[in-house]
Amino acid sequence: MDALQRHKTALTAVILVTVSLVLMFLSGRVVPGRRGGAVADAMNRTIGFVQSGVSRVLGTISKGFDSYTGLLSVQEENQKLRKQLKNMRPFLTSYMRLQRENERLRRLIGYRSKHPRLITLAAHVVARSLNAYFHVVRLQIAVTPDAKIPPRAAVLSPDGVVGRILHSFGQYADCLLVSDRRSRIPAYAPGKQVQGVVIGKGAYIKYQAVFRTLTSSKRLSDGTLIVTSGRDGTFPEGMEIGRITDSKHCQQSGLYMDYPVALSNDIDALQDVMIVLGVRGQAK
Amino acid sequence: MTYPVIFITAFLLQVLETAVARYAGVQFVTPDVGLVAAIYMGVGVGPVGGLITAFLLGLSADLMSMGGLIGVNAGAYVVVFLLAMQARSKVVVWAIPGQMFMTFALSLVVLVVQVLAQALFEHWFNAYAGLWRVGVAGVIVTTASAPVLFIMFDMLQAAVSGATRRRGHFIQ
Repeated sequence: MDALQRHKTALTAVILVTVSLVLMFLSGRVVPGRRGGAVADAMNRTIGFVQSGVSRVLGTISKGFDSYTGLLSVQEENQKLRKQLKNMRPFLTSYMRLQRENERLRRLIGYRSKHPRLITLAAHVVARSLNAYFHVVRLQIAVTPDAKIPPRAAVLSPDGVVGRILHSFGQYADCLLVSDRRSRIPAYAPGKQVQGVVIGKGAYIKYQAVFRTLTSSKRLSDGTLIVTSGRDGTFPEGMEIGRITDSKHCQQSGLYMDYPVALSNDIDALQDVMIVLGVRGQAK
Repeated sequence: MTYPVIFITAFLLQVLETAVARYAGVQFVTPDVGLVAAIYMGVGVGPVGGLITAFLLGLSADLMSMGGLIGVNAGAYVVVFLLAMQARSKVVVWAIPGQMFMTFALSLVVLVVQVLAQALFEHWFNAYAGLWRVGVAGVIVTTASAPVLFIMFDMLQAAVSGATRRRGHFIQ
């Protein structure tokens, strides 16, 4: 008992390091898309709840800041206009924000009606990975789904493919972006008969990906559209991923040719997305 | 009383970082608040409670990394706590250069642990160059922000315990 008391710190450290090693071992075996354990789920739900709260508070602060800067810019105008603008500016700011939101939602609805076979679920981006290496964003699902989100479900926006679900827990889900180095999406260049895979570059600061084809395939030029081929059963066929850019600097590695791809989605500005739950009329 | 205060503060800062990152535009490197908290506790707070708090902070950092291995930071922070405890009599931690040096050295230790863990436990991981590059950027940002975090933890501890100066107590 005395020895136990004397070596309390060492014993605690050994236990904690062992627990960490077990956790690492177990999480290293988890395949992306599969659900984590109950404890991890519960913690992720709590963290997601706090993150969405903070996100909402920051949104309110930025709205307030918008109104403030809007009022400042009116100072150079004459007195009468200033008075009028002072009254009108908050309404205008609010109107513009609503208009932007309306446009965003209209695009989402438009996208859904353009693809009537897709069964989708709306979600909002609330946070981004703390680790700059992993290109992952956390989504808050608008309505808690009755049906479970399928593992590795596709995440789309009106501009194209965003990524795929890494984990989901209740009202929250983590989305692995196309630019993450672990992301692989079977794709092709329509009209060119070139098949390949879009691979995330995992670049720091930039969201980039490459389109990997066989060297024997036809050469692609700048601006060539790259869309999903649907071969992985996750992404529906024909979803835009991006366009070939800077094809002169494509890299050859062995049998493969890597073309840089400019992603269609502006991931920095990403706010509302859709999670694809399934495709109507397609066998599971 | 010190552990819960440091844990809650560091945890809230971690959550805030993830939420702010959503508004910050491009993917960017944030200071490792949990690591600085583990160092702070290693040099100034009792061992067992500090170890458990460091472990829990690491675990929350793992969950907020979204996509990394769970347990890497938890284990690394425990190691950092022990190293900081050993080094507190050798490094002048009440001065800013000492704090920065210690944070820099221990951030590198965490980075090495992270890379080793990826190599050992995640069989499909194959991009170490990128991890090093981002990791080194993280080390620099964490080192630069360490003095501010140290001051903040100091003020919190002083507010909680009523003590005005912590450092004279444990630095011989």
